[in-house]
Amino acid sequence: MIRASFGKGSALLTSNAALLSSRLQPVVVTQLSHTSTRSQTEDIAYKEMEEFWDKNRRLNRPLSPHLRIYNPELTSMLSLCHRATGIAMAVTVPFVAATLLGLPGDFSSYIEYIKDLHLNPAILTAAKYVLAFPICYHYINGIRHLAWDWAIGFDLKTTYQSGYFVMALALLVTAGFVHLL
Amino acid sequence: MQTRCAQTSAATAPEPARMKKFAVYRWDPEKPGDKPKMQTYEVDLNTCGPMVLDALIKIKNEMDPTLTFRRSCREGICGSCSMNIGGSNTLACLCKIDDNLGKATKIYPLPHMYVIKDLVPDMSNFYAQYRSIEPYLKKKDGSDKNIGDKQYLQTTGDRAKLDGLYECILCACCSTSCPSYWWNSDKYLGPAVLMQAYRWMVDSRDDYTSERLFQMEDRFSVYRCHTIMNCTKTCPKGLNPGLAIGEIKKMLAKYNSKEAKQLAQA
Repeated sequence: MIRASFGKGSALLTSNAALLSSRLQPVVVTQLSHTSTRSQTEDIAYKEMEEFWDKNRRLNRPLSPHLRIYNPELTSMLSLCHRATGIAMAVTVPFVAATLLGLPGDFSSYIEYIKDLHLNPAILTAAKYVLAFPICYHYINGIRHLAWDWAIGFDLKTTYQSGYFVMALALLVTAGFVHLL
Repeated sequence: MQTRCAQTSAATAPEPARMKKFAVYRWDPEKPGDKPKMQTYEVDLNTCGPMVLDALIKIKNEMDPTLTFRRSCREGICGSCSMNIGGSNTLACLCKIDDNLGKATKIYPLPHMYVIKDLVPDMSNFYAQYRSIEPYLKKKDGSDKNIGDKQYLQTTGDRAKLDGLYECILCACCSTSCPSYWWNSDKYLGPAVLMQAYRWMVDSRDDYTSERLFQMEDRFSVYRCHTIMNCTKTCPKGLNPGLAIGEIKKMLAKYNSKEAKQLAQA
């Protein structure tokens, strides 16, 4: 196991990353669709790539730190939020729907059950925020992604402005859903 | 006479030293069993140039000659000194030292790259990927005898399309800031190489635009880009690789891929 210790507690993360990358079997040649028409330059390039992976694995070189040290930027954080909300919805919506299908009683009886628990209203509001935010954020950021698909709004200033706008609007609409509906 | 003496005596009074800490990633391949670690150096900013590269050179000259890093032009045009400073990828020769003496400046090599020594990453894969897109003019008029006889003319409008693309110095700051490139650096080309691929696709003098686009027709070369936009944020030359990739995706959607396949296999 390749171990690289940077300080307390980060050894496991780094070693896992190193282990994963050392197990990487790049199949560069066969994945591309036009292998039959490759030029000599491309052949040399792909040979160099294979030699790179062989050499670095053989020498057991460490991989420089990445997630641990890179600045969280608005660009990467919003993109992560988009992916996280997307996965959260893709998992929970079918799961809840399937569960409700299997369980006895209908949807309103479960709402009655939650009402009868007499939970702190703050907890209920927080839960509503957690449920409403993913759909609002993912939808509004989705429009930003559609604009990008048309190559609109790619310059850094617009990216940042639209990013702040999307986050603010998503929070606003979430609050609207929670308090007004 | 008196005021002049006062001025010179004031100038020679020693300023209090401004000590700044630099925490630098170190790893020596020649030491058996050595593990990567951080080493802290203290530099007096009063006797050091303003850029991080000045501090690194001062450390290497005066404190620790074993500190290893790439550098050449010291003016932000060669792309050698690209590294991760304070959490962002940039060129050390263009990155001003943060004056805040209370915080240490953290210096790491470019993220998710195999380390040769200290701050020097193995760039061979990056260069091989650049080679794979054939970054040179390709003409279809066949005969090699006539190369160099005539200029290839280009309108000012067509030349303007290359602005913001040709200035890339291939420092790899953008590609190594992309989480998608971290996870897929074997098959995904990365923003730097893709921007150069676009530079050749959009050059009016190049005849192989369709074939260049056809080369990208697979799941990984272009389409691992999820518009995270870390690349544009970190580019030390102020270029926009994210936009170039967006334009490639648009071109891929619009061009005639069957025709390009036939051309490529002809």
